[in-house]
Amino acid sequence: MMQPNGTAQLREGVGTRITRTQWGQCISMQGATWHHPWFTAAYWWPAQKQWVAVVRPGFLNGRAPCVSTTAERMKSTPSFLAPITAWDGAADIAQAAQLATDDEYAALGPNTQIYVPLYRNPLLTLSFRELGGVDGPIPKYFTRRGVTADSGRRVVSGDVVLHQPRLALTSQISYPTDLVLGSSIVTQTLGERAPASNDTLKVVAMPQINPPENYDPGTGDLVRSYEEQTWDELLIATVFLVSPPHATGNPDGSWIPAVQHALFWNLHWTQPRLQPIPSAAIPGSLSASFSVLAGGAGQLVINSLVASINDMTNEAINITVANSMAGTFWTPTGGGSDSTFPTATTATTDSFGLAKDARNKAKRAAAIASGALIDSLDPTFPYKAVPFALSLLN
Amino acid sequence: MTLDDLAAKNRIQPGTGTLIGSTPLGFFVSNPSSGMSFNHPFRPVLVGTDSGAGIRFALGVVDGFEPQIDGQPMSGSSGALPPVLKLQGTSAATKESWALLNVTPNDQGLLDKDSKIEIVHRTSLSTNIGKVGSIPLALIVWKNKLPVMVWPLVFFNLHHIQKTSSTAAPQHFFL
Repeated sequence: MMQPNGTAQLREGVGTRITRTQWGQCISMQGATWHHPWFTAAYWWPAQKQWVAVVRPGFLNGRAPCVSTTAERMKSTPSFLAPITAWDGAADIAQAAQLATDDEYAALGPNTQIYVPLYRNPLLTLSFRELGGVDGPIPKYFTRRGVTADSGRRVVSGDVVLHQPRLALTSQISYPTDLVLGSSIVTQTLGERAPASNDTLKVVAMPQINPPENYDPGTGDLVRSYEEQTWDELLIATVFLVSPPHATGNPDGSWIPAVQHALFWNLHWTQPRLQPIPSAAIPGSLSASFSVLAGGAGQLVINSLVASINDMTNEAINITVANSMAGTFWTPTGGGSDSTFPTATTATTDSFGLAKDARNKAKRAAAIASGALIDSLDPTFPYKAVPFALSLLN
Repeated sequence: MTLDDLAAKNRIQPGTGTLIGSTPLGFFVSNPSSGMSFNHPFRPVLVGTDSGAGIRFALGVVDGFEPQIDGQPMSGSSGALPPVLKLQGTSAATKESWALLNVTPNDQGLLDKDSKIEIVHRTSLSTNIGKVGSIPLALIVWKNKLPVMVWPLVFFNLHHIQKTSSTAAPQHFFL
């Protein structure tokens, strides 16, 4: 029988929070965090003796990136590594599971290379670099937990990268064999180079993401052919593995994974077009002509009357940088050019009201103070988006 | 304290991330499984999986204007339910299709109350260059001529900008 003194009260269980109010008791269940686009989980695949990653689908311009794999690998993927859950959007869990184990690959040879979209949970084989040496320091997240060189534990990391093929800028400089500084015409021809025909929007794993190639004209070498890379890449996440004490050899299932995300929202991407230089933008010593080649590609020829090799080099660098065809990523957030979400300036422990961000800030501060949460590899919701580059509007 | 007061005081209310239901046998408390999404703008939900399948969206706006589906405001009108985007125009070979938000700005390149802003279903994506700007809102995955799952592509209300040029066709950006 219910007691009038209020003994019929709920008790908090694991992952549950009870708030007692004058209107009744309020139960909040603290589920797992929302799995944002590009959420990456690392697993040890015992049968293959590999560390693999599953990336929750993120999208670029509405398209799902693929993972390069083989038919045999898709067929042999254990179900626990291809989780089909009630992610939003799955109309029918049974059908979604069927899609993931589609027999479409049955007719293919076991080693046939196929590109599988992320929503089919393809496994990405990870590759790693050793931290704590020449390849970079061990992040503070681990050293604060006692993972140091003295502890006998090793830390390796591998990057999961979004790869978008694109047209690339090429530059060729030619000058007369009897170059006379101050009176010779030096010609710089800018053109476009298409990506490899089999290149596609995909997610790849590598020990460390390669930064875009920087333009290096060399020293005094005017006869230089320069080509941009035919892709843009963006870091999705970094997977860390921490070894048991005094481990040797390659990482195995006894190592502990941790993931640091760099990407949280779907993306848009575009790249500039090679265009004629407006006459008003051409300095006095330059003349430029633009022609459209077969296939719609463009070619920009710039003639320069050189005064010195340094002048020529500087002009070549400026023209190349100004006409770079490197693409730009951004997340549509409705917020204009700035996609950084504001954080609460004050913390509050009030249970009511709309200041959810302030409550989260207070909870996080309390957790850190109690030692339950030293820090984390990922930021808290609502995360950070890739901002829109206003230069695209020029 | 009356029994009614006591019942009111001990009433259980759903807090964050919690769903409470009542049955003749008592109440149940459930908790969203990991990975569940939140009710963001333009969130798509598949309605039915047979030939009458469609998508219903949570309300989202672009530059403050509400898009239309089949000539109806996407949130519904005059007390009617929100309209369903019918998934038509697919074939047996269709593996992916998209729900697109198409906007037609005015002569100044801006959206106004008379601009055509609509959500349509297509089996290919647009270039986003020309008179009509387009952004995919949802990706629909098909299997055996049935829509199996839908993925949200946009999580926020949108802002549209048209880049005009004297030498090239207008280019549309959503940010």
